[in-house]
Amino acid sequence: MGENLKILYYTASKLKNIILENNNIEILLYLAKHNPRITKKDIIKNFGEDSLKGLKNLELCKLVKEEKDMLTLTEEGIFQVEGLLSIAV
Amino acid sequence: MSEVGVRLDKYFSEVKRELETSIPELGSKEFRQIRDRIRKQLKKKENEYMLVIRSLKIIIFGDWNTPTKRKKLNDAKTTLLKNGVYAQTIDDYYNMYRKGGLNQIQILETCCMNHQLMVFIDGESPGTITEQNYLSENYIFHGKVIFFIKQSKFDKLKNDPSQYIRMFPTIITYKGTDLLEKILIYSRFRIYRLADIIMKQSTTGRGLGSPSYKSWKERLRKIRR
Repeated sequence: MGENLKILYYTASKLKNIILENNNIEILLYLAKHNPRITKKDIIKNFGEDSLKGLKNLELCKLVKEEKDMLTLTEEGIFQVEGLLSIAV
Repeated sequence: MSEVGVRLDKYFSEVKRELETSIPELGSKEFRQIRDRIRKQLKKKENEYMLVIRSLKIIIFGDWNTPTKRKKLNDAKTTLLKNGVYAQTIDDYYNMYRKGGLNQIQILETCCMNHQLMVFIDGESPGTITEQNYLSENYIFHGKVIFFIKQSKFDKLKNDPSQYIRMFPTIITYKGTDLLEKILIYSRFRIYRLADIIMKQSTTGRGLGSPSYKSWKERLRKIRR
């Protein structure tokens, strides 16, 4: 409970690097299209075992959460993906 | 409501639907093109700045005890979201956190620590008064609050410095129809300013990296002694 401002600072200042690492952009786009019907097994199948580390960082940034074994974008995740697509136009 | 029972705000439900249709299938040429464009654009400073801005959070306080008042809060939230600034309303926050068994004050404490800006629309319902009192007592949050009050009410209070509004260092008046515009203008200035500070501190290594930095919880504990 409560804010860990260090986590906020870490995520806000490192967010770009987290999104750029591994397959995180692909994972975010994939989840935006298909969640919440996606599991970790789907992520491993499509992006490899190594992508789980990136996925964990996305969860730490609160862009993704796992609920009942299903992965889903949080509202913050949806908001950031919306922003990413706006710069890709 | 999604398949795992996660209730999305109306704005996010609509955005999610658009994303589902606009994002190409994984593995397609179009998907790879979008990925590559995002990767390229994200290396630009202005887009990194956009990411930081979108990661900062606003909470909107105000009366929500009638459908009209609740709509006013939601309209303020939607205005901010549509303009690239993340916002939540206090009623949504209560709905989310009450499930965890927290009481109002615990929820308020969490809320004040989790959000970087608090937009407070002056109100009269008991819940809003409780929130005003909480913020009044915990002055370490005052710097995060921008307080909006109707011009006509402010005019009645302004010559009496004992009035409750003295607790809010940033008071902004509005007339009936310009509240949303003013919330957007002043919120954006504050959020962009904070994003500037975060970007600068991450370059210089100052701020939260400093060993003398104290968390919000510690600061709250100090003022309660």
